[in-house]
Amino acid sequence: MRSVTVLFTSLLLGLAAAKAPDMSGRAEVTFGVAVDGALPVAAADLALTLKGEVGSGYFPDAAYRATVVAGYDAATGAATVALDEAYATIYLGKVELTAGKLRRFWGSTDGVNPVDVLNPRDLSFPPDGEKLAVPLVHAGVYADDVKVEFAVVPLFTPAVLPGAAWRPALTPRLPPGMTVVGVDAPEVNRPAAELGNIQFGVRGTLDLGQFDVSATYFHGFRSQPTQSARLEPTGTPGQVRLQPVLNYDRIELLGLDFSGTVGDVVLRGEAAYQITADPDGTDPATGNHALQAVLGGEYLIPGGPRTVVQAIFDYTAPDAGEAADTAYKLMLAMMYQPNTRTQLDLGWIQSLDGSGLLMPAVGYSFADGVTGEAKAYVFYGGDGSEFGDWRENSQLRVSVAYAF
Amino acid sequence: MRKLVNQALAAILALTLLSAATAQRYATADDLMSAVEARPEPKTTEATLTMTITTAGGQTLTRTLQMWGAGDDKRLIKFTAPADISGSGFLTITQADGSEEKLVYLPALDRVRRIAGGQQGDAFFGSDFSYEDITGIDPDDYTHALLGVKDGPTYVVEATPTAASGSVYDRLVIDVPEASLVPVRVEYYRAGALVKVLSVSGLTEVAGYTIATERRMESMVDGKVSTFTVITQSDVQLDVTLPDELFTERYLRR
Repeated sequence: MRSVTVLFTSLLLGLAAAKAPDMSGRAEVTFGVAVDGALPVAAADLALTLKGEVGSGYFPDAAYRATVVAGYDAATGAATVALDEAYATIYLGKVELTAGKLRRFWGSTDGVNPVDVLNPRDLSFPPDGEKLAVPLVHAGVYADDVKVEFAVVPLFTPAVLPGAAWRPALTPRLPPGMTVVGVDAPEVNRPAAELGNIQFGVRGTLDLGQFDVSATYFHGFRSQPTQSARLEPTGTPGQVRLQPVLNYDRIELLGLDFSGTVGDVVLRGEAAYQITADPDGTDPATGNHALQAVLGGEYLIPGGPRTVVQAIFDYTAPDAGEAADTAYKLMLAMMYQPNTRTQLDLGWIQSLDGSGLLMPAVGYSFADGVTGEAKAYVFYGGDGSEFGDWRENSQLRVSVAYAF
Repeated sequence: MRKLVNQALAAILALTLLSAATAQRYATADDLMSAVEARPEPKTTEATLTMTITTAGGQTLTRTLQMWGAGDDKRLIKFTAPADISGSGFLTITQADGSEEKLVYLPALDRVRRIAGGQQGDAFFGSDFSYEDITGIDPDDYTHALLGVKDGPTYVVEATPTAASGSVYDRLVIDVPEASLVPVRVEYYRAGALVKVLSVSGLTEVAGYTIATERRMESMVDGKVSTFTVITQSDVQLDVTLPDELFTERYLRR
């Protein structure tokens, strides 16, 4: 907290040398329609950003940025006005110190980033999963070929969880002859705001020119809860109520990622191992150890699209007496600009269980700062498969945005 | 027969005009390109660039960017307008072994991405320039042949990329006036067809150097201009002190 005080004091002292602040913004209208005829989104959003610098030169004494977002979604009736990001950075030679509410990206691969754990995600529309800004103090130390980052997240912020249409049904194992007669409101065990729950991480990057490698350590919590359920007696024999429990597991994360150029191909890889407080898998309310690894490459097809192919491997350690959960997915992303105004994108995730998600998109620049996009989200697969249960959520979204 | 005679006369006339202009200083293409390469160049460059992209329908998109360069080895470009791409940046560093490190910063994702050399044929932020075009012509990456000499004199040189250059083009035809030794027109051929034409104008003296303030790249389809992009330079500063920290991932994302 003292670092924050120092930061803002230095900003105030430096106001005499400040450049005029710059105001910018973005207005966006989004409309969506699902395959079942429902309207998942009919929203208008406005984001206003104020940013500026204190001091002068290539690296000024300090810089600041704040963004406020206001939105209304007619499909859900939700109206929001929120401070998105608000942070300041001071430049101290080879050290940068940033504090406030912000986002920071850690990782090397595209789309799926196991080591990118500083910011939770808004999963209300899971395919997008936008990152949420959180209170964060970040320090970067830049030597010649080495960068070391330190991050402290003083307050835990959970991910915004998917709505009912995206949640799997709870299917607890019931003793013979037992019937569930109701489901109670979830019991949420969220880390309290206390010293022992402060999250922190450190990341080191070695840049060798055509190749870079990073190692990451994070001590904190999973931003998505482990979901379990207790059976609560009702007083009537053979009948129980279901008590869902959402537990945000404490984790230690060890991560490794790299990117490098080999000929015309950029190779990227990323892996993270999460260690939880339930190594034996005996506590159903606590998640187990887990590993996620991503390996892939990017290549520009001559005269064609920039193409990214990645293999994704997920492993979750087993509960006591059970088998481990493993999952394999392939991801394909293609980006192509046939002319100055048009952008064609294709995203495709294929699980080895036969289900998948296809996301074709067309973008168009109508004028300077005025862009439009139409994007389809097509889920497919059988019942109980990774993406198959979301078939009814397949939808088309159309948006128009003006940036100023 | 009369037509053939007329064509022959026209060819002789053209050769005569060319020979009249051959009071030339450089006898071979290699001599010329060596002189082009030896032309004094600033150690560092800082400038504001305005990039106007004109579509086939005549509509325009305008981007403003800030550019810093140190020799041929380091180049940094950051977009300042329009708002939807403001903050995006592009950093190229040529390593001691000749390999290039290319990084793109995309502020919407808050991440720096490495891109491969094979992607130098990609359009530079949606313009008619590719990353290869922006990086410029390194004479060492080409073999040269003198095709002729026009009035001025202006030399017409054919440049054929070496296999090691990684160029997406088959050959370039370059016009180089003897007076400035600045290539003022470049035709780019791919698969035997003319695909782009670069015109360089607004040559001016800044701090003792001859620089071009305007570059126009036309994309050609069936011999006709389909779209074109004009990049104009302003606020040009040469030989200013640029710190090494400028050409880093750190500054790219700042």
